[in-house]
Amino acid sequence: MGADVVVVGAGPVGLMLAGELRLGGADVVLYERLAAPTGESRALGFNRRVAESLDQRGLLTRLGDFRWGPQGHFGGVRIDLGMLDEAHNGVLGLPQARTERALASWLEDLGVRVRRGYEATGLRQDANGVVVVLDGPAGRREETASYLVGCDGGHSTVRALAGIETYGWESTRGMYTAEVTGLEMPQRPIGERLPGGNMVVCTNLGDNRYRIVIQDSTLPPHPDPGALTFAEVADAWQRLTGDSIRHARVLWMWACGNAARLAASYRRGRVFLAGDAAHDTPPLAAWGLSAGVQDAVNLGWKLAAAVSGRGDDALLDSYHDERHPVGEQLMRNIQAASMLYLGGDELEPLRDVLRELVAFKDAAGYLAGMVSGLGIRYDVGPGGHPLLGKRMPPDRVLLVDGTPTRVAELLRPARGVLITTGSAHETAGLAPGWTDRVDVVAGSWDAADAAAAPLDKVLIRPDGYVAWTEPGGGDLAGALCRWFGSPRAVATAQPGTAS
Amino acid sequence: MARDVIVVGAGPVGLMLAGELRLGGADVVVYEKLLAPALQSRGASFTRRTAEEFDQRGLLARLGESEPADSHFAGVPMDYSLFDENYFGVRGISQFRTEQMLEAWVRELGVPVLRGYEALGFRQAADAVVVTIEGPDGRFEEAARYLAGCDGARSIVRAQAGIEFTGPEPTRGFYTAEVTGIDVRRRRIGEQLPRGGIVMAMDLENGVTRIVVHEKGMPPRDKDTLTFGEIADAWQRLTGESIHHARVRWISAFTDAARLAAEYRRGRVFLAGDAAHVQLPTMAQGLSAGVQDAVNLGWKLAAAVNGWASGELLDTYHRERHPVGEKLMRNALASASLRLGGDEMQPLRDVLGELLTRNDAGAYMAGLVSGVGTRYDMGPGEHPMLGRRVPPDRELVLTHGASVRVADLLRPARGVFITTRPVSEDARLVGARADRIDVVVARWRAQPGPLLPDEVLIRPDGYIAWTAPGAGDLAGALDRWFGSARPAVTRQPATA
Repeated sequence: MGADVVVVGAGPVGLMLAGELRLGGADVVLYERLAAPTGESRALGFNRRVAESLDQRGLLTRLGDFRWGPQGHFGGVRIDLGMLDEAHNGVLGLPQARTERALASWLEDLGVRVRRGYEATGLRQDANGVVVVLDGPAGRREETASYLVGCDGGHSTVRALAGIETYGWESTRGMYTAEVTGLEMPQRPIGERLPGGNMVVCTNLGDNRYRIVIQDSTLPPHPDPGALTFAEVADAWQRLTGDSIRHARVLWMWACGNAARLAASYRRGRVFLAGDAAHDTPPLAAWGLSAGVQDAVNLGWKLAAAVSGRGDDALLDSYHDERHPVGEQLMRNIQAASMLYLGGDELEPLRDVLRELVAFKDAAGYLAGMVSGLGIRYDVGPGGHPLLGKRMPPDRVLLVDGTPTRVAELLRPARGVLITTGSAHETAGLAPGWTDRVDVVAGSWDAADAAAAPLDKVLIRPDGYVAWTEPGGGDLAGALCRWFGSPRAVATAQPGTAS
Repeated sequence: MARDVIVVGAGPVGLMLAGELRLGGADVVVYEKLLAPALQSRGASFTRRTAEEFDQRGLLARLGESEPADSHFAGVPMDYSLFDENYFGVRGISQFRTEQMLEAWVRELGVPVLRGYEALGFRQAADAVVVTIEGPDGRFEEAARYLAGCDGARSIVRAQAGIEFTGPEPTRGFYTAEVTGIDVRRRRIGEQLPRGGIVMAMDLENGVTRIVVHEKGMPPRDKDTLTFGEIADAWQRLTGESIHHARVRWISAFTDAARLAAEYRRGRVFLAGDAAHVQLPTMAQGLSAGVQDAVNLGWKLAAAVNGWASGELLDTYHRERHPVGEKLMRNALASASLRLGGDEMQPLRDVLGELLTRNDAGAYMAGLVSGVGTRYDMGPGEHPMLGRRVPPDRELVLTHGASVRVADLLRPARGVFITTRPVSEDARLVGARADRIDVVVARWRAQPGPLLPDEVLIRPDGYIAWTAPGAGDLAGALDRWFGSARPAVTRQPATA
């Protein structure tokens, strides 16, 4: 039996996407190559916008205890987040494995089918659908779906099978990451730059576990990452820090290079790419994971709309149009930040120039906006409101019948939200043909938001981005059609008698 | 009889300083090693603030035609239209022309500019500095109250004073030549090459083209053994264009060395210009800062000579200009990393470029590069213009209705006190120093630009030392910058 959407890869991006699709009403099945999660956590936390995206679906509480903290630097150039008008703090020190467990439990509640131990080995698509060939514990099977999404990482099989080109750069240097236990280590939090373009990081994960990262300019990309030994890691650590960690017990380790690849297209026909499959970058401050989860949140509701027949091809294309530039910026920023991190002392004057510029609020806000994801503005058409195309601040409070309601809560069902500060009478006539996909909510903004630009009405997409405003946003019916499809015919009968 | 000041070096900095000193009433002489001005042009432009300082002395008009300069930081274009004052500087004026103009001005003022005289050394005495000079007629000693070394990067004065001149070791070599008869594409601010390095081709005057070549990895090179063939070969390797047939006027080599004098003053000896700071020539920064050094120092030394400088006035020269030298050096090094590193630096150039489009960060950098952003510490006060230069284009409406530009008020290189009230305690305080400050009763004409306060005390170099509203005690500012009031001797003027 076919599914609406097959998602390949049960990392944080695939999990998020599957949940978003299911919320949007799609029948989705998630395949994962690994029989069980590795328990490894390559990323520790995520940026502000990912936290907001999880908040919009009520998922923050599933994460358990975590710590908000400043992701307050760009390649080691500190950004003073305190001077910005909005909170840019992200989630720090949260192992990726825990994020994945939280998302997996959400999918279970949503009833999403997750099939582990299956590897995608072939695909073919035509005008009607896509067929994925999967090799698994019970042999080979074929799954037919309307759409296929590859969330299967940097070496994405789906990307290769779909014939999507990538561009980027090759590795020039190697990098080791390991999690160790059984010793005491001093914390080296945001990366200690050492002479000669080297860097070490040591994060205390608690429970006597430490995450170490080693960047050594003389280290070539590892010829066989799978064969990395802890002796190699410990040697490099000692060479750079003078400390021996030979006696530590290694929980897992990982050798990677500094190569990066960006998919030339995030979509080919019925096949989409998200996360590392679309943008494979060297690990840096969870930038890659954060972008990936935002890819999923951008794509989920659009694919769900297409499945239900309300999303046209232009809506599906908007995924690439909106997220590919973010991927390009990610690649660029990774390169720039790595250069700042890992370049030698001769770059100190340039770092100093940047530090000086980042002391200015607008410049700090710009850099912080790229790191936190809050700076993203999608092209949603003409208009002059400062929120247009940007994410609706999820902490804005609307009084609905006198009850304070956060915007994040209105977005729980992953439907469109049209907020009006007008009368309840006016509300009924605002978007009559779209009430099956857009919730119209009347209320008044909490007085605490008085400083914000006037916002009498706002149309918010399921991913939390502002598609239309009044004042400042043009034609509402046009915006509704563009993002939510054609209106359904509304019976002209008087309300009140229908059942 | 001892001179007031001996200036060593007749480059733009030494000449500017000599002129400033003479305007301030000092008896000054300029000694220059070279018999004739060097024909080659190091810079062909200067920054906005330097143009303004020329303007303040009526010198900009003497330079003739110029054009607005390209505006960039480290090759990253900057949009100056974002800012209130929207050009970076002027270009198209060779250093040779600037020097000619300044030398003519200085001679008009009656300053001897003696060429073919080399300063060999000096010794400091309690009340004078005695300089040993070798001239066409042999060696002699001359005493002066102060000595200013404007004698360039290899300054004898600095070496003899034992002032440290430090910075990172140079790692990159550059070739430069002035040629005629080539028809290559012009690359005025330099073309950064994908694999690193830079080529520059800029028109000077009379068909002369200045070229600069740096190939990635090219180390510093001894210029004495350099041939034009090597330069042309490097040019061809990088651009594919042959310039071997050019007629060559001058060739040289330079490096990315950046050095800063640890002290701009030691006793009676001062350093200005390249003698105080050298860096990779870029964006006319070195020459421009040097001229501003001279304008900062001139009136202070003249005040000391005239006997009204406060004890610390001479020390404010180092205090105000040394930080500018530090930034100059830092910017040049940052610029070299960004511009010469090839395509791998493009991501950082892009990030920097995006930061520079933010109004606040962009305006800051524009101010730094153009010199307009310089702000000196004038003591307590919160007016945003305190310590900044007064825009010389701003106009004042005098009591009888006529208008006057600030630049014109600053022509005599005296202090200027602008007030709306002819009779006041403030006017009386200033009036007690009428020999060094001109009182102008006027109001600001409404013009675009920063808001200027009703009462302003302007130093001879054009910087705002005190404002009302927005600054503290006028008497303190006057004492600090213009010395104590002259004794209240009521000298009768000779019958008119």
